[in-house]
Amino acid sequence: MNRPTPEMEQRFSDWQRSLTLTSKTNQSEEDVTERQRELVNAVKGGSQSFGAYLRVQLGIEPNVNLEAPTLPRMIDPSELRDPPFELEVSLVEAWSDQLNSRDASQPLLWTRCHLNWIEQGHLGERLDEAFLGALPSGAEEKTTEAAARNLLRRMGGLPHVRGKVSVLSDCPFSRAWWRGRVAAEATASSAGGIDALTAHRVLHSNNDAWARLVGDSVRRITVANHAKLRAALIYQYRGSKRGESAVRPQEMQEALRLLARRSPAILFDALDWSVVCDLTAEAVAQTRADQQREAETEEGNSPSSQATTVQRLTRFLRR
Amino acid sequence: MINSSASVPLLREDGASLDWTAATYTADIEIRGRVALATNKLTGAPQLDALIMAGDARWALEIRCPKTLFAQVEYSNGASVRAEWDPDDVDGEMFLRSGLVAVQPCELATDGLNDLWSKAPLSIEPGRWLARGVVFRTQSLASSLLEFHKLPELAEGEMRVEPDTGNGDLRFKVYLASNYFDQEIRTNRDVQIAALIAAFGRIPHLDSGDGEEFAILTHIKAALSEADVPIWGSEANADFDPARAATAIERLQISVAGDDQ
Repeated sequence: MNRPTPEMEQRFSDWQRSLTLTSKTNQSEEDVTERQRELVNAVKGGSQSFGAYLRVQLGIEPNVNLEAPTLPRMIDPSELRDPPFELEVSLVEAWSDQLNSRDASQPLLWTRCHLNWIEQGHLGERLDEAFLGALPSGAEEKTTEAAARNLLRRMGGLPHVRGKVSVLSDCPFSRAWWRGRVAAEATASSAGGIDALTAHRVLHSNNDAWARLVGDSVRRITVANHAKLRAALIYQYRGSKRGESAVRPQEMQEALRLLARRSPAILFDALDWSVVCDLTAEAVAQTRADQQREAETEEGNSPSSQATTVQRLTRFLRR
Repeated sequence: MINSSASVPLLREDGASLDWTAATYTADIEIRGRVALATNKLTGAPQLDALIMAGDARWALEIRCPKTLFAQVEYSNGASVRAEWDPDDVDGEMFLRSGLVAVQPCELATDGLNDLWSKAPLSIEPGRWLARGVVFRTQSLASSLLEFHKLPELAEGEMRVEPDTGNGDLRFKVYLASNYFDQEIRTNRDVQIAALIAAFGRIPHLDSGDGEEFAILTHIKAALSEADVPIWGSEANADFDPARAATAIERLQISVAGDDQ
């Protein structure tokens, strides 16, 4: 893949910023809204209209051919907003030799890929449903700000607002690639303890859980970005899939943070797979128990919460 | 099952741990292209040397690149550890940490440890850090935070500092008047520190923006906490001093008259 130059990156960043209202911006709301309307109209005009608009915004001449990994088939709007598991797997298989981590961490690269797919007609003509619409239904958003943010996130990520995690979690196709990557890494780090398909199913089961898992890896670098630790955590949830058995995001995140607190004393990579699994199982169980206790305390009428209240009162009175 | 709550003496490069009375550990990390070389030096802890000789402990070098979720650990029985990575696996800033880690169940004699430790040998489980270096960054915090630009509209001697989050992390664009910029004044340490203080002054207003914390702020907070310098935040905001924080990250270096000679 041809890597974007720093000038292209700057132009891309300027374009994204010109379309978003943030507390740090010094653009007038009217100007931003006007540009958002222009974007929305281009998208509603279909693939030709939006392709031409995007080329101008990104400074790509009409005769320049764009590179993009191959899509295995036509994608409809609901699949683009949130690819089903089978589609994610086929995307990962199709792209395994076409992208590397460095390329896949660039929001602009994914945006250029989307432009190519749009121009090739692989994403159909209902682009407003695919890129601008609300996540569950594709229905039109109430504001142009929400619609513009949906589009920027779905085409590759919105780094100036969401940080580096955006390309990993906000763009459905880049997210699919990264989930495939982490699933493969989990298989390699677990000495075959979990296969890539099962790991990918766990990661696909809940988008919020995935965002929290990689979000901590990106932000809490020295503690959470550890392949064997991620693999063991995925292993704890190996039966999970979309629906009622999906991973609970907060539980997974808290368990990871609990484990992360041990990293000043332990090098997880130096532990046997079975030992890392025992530690993660313990962390998940403790997190689950803590959250259960908190829920009961909030309800305030369960026997265990009453016991906790009595214990707290007793401790207080003994001071 | 590892008893992760059991305490094990840790020899820290920054000297923050009081477990060892006289032992010291240093790690020099050098990066050349896609290769990192860590050279470890341990003094005053013969029992750790003995663990290495017996194959119970090994030197380790951890490499992490958060942007690409890349992590790698290399081990060595010798004091030098070499690590090589695929450039396609990494992008942006990298973090490296060197140290000594137990790789077999073993016992550690307590000679040379603080008196708070019992005299009986300690049982050590595999995976425990025994000596740990400070995190080495491929960019300093200050250079990660500041980026100098020319701004013709500024009058001579003026400077402007603005936050920028375009690359997904927080940076500050420091604008200098054209003539100053052209004179390479941005390489002047005093100018850099003035810009850093201005940048720190703006951090408290940026930290809660859009609900996402920037990675670099996590590192700055950790560095300030380690140096026992107040950080920003709702509770400690009153004690936060941008000048104190900035100069804890990059010290002022005032040259005394005659130094130049």
